[in-house]
Amino acid sequence: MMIKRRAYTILPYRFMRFGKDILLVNEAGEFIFMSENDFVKLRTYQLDIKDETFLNLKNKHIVADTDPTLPIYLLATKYRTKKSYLNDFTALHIFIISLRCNQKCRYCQASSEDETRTDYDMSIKTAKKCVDMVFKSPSPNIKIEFQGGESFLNFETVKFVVQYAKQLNGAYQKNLEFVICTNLLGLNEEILNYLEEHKICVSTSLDGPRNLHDPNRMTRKGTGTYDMVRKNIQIAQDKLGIERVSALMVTTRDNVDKLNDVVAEYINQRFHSIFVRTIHPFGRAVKEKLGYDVETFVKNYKNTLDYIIRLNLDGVSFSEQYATIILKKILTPFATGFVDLQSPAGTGISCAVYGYNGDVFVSDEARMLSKMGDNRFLMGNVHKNKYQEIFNGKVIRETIDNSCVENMPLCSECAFQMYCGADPVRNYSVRGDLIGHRPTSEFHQINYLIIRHLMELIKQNDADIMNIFWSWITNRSIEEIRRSKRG
Amino acid sequence: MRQLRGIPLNYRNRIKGKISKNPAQTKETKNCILATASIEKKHRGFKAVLCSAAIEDVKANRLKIPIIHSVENIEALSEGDIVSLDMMTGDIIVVYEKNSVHNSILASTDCNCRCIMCPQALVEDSTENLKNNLEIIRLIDKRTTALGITGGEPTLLGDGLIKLLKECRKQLPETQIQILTNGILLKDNEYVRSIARLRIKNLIFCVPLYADTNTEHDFIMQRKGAFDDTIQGLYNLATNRQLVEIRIVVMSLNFKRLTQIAEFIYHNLPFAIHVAFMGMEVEGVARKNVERLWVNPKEYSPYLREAVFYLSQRDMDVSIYNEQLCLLPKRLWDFTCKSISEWKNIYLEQCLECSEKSRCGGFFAAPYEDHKALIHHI
Repeated sequence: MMIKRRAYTILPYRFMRFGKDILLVNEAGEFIFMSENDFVKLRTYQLDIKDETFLNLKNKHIVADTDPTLPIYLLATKYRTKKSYLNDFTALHIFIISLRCNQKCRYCQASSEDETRTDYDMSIKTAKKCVDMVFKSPSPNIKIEFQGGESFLNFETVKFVVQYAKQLNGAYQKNLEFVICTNLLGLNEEILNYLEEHKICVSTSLDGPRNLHDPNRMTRKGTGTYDMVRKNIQIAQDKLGIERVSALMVTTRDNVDKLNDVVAEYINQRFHSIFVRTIHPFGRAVKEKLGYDVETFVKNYKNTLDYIIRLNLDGVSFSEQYATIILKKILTPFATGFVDLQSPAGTGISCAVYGYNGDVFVSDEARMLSKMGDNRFLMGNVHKNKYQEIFNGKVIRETIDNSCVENMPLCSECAFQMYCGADPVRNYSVRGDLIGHRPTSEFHQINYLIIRHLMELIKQNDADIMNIFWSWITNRSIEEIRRSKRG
Repeated sequence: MRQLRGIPLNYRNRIKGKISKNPAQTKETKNCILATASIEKKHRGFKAVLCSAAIEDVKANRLKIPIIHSVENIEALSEGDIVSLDMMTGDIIVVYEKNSVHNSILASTDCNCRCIMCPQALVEDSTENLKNNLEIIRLIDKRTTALGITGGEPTLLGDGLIKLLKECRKQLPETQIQILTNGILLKDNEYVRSIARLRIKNLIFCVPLYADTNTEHDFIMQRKGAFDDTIQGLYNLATNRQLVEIRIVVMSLNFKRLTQIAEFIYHNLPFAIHVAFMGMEVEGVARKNVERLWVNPKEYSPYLREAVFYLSQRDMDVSIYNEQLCLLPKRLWDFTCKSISEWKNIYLEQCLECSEKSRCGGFFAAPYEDHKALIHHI
């Protein structure tokens, strides 16, 4: 029998239909659209190696008509680059500085306690042990984030952590950053001066204009917090600088169809971006039935993304952060630092959460599960365990082993694999196992639909929209992108 | 390189030296070559004298130093220039121009490729160069901002290139050194490492890339495997933390894929600190092949525009070299720069009344006829 020599070899890729066209994505996340006709030719080795379609596929290392050593080397290098967030190990360390809170938000997932319960504060002794643990991480970048409850209520411990971490860093010389998450109700002159002096970034919460913010975010006495937050955001921005103050919102049943109003409020308050976050099925959010179905969320998300794009076209520099993260994954050769959409998941290896009592969890959701009585993701305790036991133990290993989309059912063959990630804690809390079940997973559905939507927009290749996307990705204003030559 | 000519006297070997135009203020006269209107007795201490006036043999002989007289256009020489004198023919070659930002050392006239648009005529033997070049580097003004090391292919010198770079490090610590190399021999990581170990600040490797796929690039380079070797070389440079610039010469064989080339660079070579798209210099080999390489700039400018914006959108530093403003869309003008060495940079008659002449890069000394015909004033 004659063996017919083929003109080229096909290297690994994944594909997905987009209407009449096919999306092909290589192992490093580079993509190309082609007609069904050409796709058939590719599969049956009928492409002409001089043809432009062939050259475009070769550019993406999907085919090779010569020795494939270099394309494989390039793919490997690019794959490593995309996964380079793994190089340094845990960089983000979240300290639950107190469980006490002066608010009682409807969707609170943080299981807050009454203001008087100082026994839920992180003690200086525990904080010291936690900081010691943080500096055992090999990462050259360390970010300590203070969370609560309300972190201002235990500001003495915050001050201790900052001072002690800086003292230790004299020897370690890492890039050390601090962020404090706060509702800003307790902001005063002394705290403000301290934040300025130590260059601590503020991350607050703002759910939209008063009519959307107040029903969700009220004091323990039940009064709205909008006026206070608005005033204090302004004070903080003026003192610390606009870039040092950011805000987060939670999408609930009440504001899901009013996201444009939330965006307008953010612009009014001088923010340059918004992160349209879905609600997490933990804590009070479940009891209060604040959720919505996937279709509702995605429909409104697309709508508000469109609104933000139109604002940019009118000259307002404003971005949506989740879209920016995904666009970065699709369009650039670089890794993103966002811990919640990685493969393997960032749980424990990119981010760790230190509870008020020194318990160490792989994520904040893991801490909430523990509060509900399930210690599945408790890695250990700073008072009882050594670094190796916590960060090289059974819990972190199992969590990571089971969070690689490369070998998870359905994900393993998905064309969006390189743009997506896994959430083992959420899978466990919904389904009882780490791998989860894609057809019924909301996490999966929302990501799939958002990635697909962004891919559609990229496919349309509208010059103005692409300029806006690149302004988000490269963090430059739209004028800067249009102005052409780099200054 | 700029070249002048006169009538030689008194000496027969080659001489190199730094130009002085002010004898009264020159200190190390024995290293200097005086450029003057007419010769005088007190000029005796100089290494050689160049003068514009014609002089008689008898009178000059009494000075007993090398002289080239009847030099035309002697005012083109500036204080601090370095010249090489051919005392057999009277040729004065300016190897370094103090007032230029385009100076370079011709490290080797040999090359391991035969690019079909090479603007040079290659000479395969280049043994005499290293010593000469070391001498030139010693004479160059310490305040020089940039110095190119070109060829031929400089890496063919092997350790010789390292010697050159060491001399640059010693003599010109503040100067930006640009090595123009095809990168093929840099696939040897040990070699790259030995260059990196010199720790020269301001060292940049300018490497050409003519296609986004190997077969097409190799054809232009006339060398099988060139693409794979060059990319490996670039990765070696990057892993050894060396700075890299990518240069793309635009021609009939690649102009339709400029955006794909840009795409390849962004995804595979994002460490490049600068990307330059370059108009072809129709000289040497390129002139022989001009008919099949030539493409009207107006025809390729839409592709060029797309490629340039592809990169600038992605925050990569990108420039256009050797193009004339009247043939480019206005949005690309900011990316152009005056990239042609002064000595061969010319403008056409129609350029004289152009309002943008001062911004325009102009032409290489001998532009292609078809190209000239397209030029118009703005």
